[in-house]
Amino acid sequence: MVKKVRRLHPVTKILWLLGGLVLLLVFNDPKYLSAVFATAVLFAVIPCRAGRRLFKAVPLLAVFFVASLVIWPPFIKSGATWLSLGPYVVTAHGAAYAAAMGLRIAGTVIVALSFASTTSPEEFAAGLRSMKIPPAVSFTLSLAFRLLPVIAETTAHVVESQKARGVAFSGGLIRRIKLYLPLIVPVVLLNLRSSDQMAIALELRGFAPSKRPVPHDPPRSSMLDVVAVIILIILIAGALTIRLAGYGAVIPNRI
Amino acid sequence: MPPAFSISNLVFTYQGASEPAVKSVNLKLETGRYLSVMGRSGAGKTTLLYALSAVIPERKKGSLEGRRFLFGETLDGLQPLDLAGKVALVFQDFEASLFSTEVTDEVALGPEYLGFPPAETGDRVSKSLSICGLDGFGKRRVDQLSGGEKQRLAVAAALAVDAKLLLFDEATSDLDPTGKNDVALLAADLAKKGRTVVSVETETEAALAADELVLLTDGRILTRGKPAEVLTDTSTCAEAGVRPLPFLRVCEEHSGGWRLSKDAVADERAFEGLTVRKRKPVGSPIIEAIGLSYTYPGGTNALTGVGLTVNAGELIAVLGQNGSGKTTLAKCVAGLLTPTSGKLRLRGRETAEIRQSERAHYVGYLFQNPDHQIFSENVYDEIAFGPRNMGVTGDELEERTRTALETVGMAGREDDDPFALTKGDRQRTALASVLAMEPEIIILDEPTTGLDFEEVRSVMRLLLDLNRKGKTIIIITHSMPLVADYVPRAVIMRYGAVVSDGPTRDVMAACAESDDLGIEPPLVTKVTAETGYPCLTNSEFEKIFGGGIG
Repeated sequence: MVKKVRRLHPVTKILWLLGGLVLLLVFNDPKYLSAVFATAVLFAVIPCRAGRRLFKAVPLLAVFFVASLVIWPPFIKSGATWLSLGPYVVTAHGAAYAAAMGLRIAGTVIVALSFASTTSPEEFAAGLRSMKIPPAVSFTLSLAFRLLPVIAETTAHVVESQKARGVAFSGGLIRRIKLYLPLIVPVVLLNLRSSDQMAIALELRGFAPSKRPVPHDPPRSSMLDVVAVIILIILIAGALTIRLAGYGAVIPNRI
Repeated sequence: MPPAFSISNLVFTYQGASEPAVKSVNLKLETGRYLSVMGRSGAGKTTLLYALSAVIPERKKGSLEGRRFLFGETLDGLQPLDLAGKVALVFQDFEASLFSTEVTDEVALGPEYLGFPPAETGDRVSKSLSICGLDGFGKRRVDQLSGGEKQRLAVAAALAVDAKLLLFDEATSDLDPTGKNDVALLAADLAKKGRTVVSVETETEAALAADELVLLTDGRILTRGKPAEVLTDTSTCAEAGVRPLPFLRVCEEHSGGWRLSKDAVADERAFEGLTVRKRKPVGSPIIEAIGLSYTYPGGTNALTGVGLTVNAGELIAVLGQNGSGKTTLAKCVAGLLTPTSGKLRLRGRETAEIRQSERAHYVGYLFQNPDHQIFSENVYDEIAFGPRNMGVTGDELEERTRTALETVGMAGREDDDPFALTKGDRQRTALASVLAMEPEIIILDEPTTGLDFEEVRSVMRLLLDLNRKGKTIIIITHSMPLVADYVPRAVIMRYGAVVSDGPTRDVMAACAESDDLGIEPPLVTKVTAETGYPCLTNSEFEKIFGGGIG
């Protein structure tokens, strides 16, 4: 199944990425968003084989969820008051909305992980070109996506270098955050240093933001793409219908 | 037909530099020639390639004087993009020029942007990969390749655009000896087929395949001629800071080629004194690997049952083709990778029982690329990072950092920005950062890549001194002359296992006699092995074969 997902046309994958994000935006009731979230997890684990990445991201997702639970409640005043600590008031609606936002953020990460697990930066760029996105925009987006593995590799080098000098990159979440935060400066510096040369190297190979390449193995669409897009349309249409019918929202006038 | 290029009175000063990098260079090369360029670090070699690819003054700013013509057309005002498809450049720092996630995509990028039809691009990709020994690598992820494989990929990507002028800036520095040889022969072949090749080299043997050799010194051309003639001129080589190959003259006189027979031997008895290199008594086993295996998450079996014992106080070299498992083994010993199976002991203790912070006391690891190791904002902090992390503070931290700086000859450079240093100085800074932790074992992964002959000698003298003081030193290298000159014990790895282990002379002689080990020995060993008196250095050759070359 994973092979079939990988073989989907990049445009289909981009549509699923966008569709996934839309589905996460349709509801703000945690009960409904839980269903969308569970579907995203299911898709990530089974057809996208992103389970390992997802497992590694669990602490980060937990942080997002908890942060959301803490940050959002004071912004929602409606509903019965559950807790009042001076200006910090938690209402029933506020707690529900906060949980929904936590699920939404975590769900966004999961959808992005699934996309990254099944789509290479080159496929992403090809997909943007197929969608007739202006070269300057598609170049910027694909460059950012292409640089992710480069940044990841640089980070791995810096981590290895520090491990070789006795730093143990293990322990609890807080300790890991403390260890990883100081890496930002060297990682950025190292990437900036090599980006100049990368630009020259690419230029000498004919690469320019405004140019459209002639792909040697252009992506092809199949019946599976049609089926995948139809499923996506049904899911989005279904979700929108439910929401427009007045369900799936704790705060109806909010996204 | 106009020459491939001509440069007249070229002077270039980088922005912010006080002195020109090249000073009044005049150079012309006909189409279909293969030119090697050698010289010390800072002699102007890379600047010369930048001048031919419009990188200067368009992308690396500075003031340029003189004229440059490429295939009869002026380069004035042209950008590197204007030369795409005509000029290909493989950078010294090849990793920074790799952009794609998959090998095929990387090689296809150039032809795709140059607008070649898909079938032709596909054809170019397969041919370039095949030429560079990367058959079957098409679907591999670039970030999972070894350093040498990445360098082959950079060469393949340059070949795929089918440029008329190929510029290689130390394009083989991370390749195994066979790979170096293959690229040199490939360059010669491309020149025969009408391409023009300019290749900057640090190892003299790689320059022998070229039609001509230019030696640069201090931004000027010192000499130009046939490589074998230039490289047998010891005094000119010394002036340019290049390793000479004077024994070739003796071979030429003896056989009219690079061969020797037994009757060329001048003093047989001299060989007996050479056979066993003086080795100080070594201690008890400090590293023991038994049936050690490692498989990368992608499924690549990098180590397949390695058996190796290293005794305290030894100086050994680990050799092998790209991807043979050398770096993986070193990373297992340094604790950066956890072996999949087998046993690994340090001073008799299972490594699984040793915490990473404790392991740093035992093993210091110098990375293949110093830029992978350096991350601090100044030299002092970079060197102090390790001991500080081990809990060393106050006067002891100060003392260790100062000693490490002095040992590598960097005293007084504490406040320098490590990223602004030359590669040789970055290598020294990285080594000092390892030394400051005072480990018993120092593993150096390709410590001399990109360094010139004199810098290599300087680093090796430093390592020999540390070895004399009791440090166990393991050098992973592709530089056979370095091993032959300095290292008493050589270990060869192939396909993730140790296939040869012994005194360097025996191992090198075995390599000269058989291709099975996948290692090309130094040329001096190769030409003398057939006589039964395999030499490792120029001075050994002088003792046995005479010729007044020493």
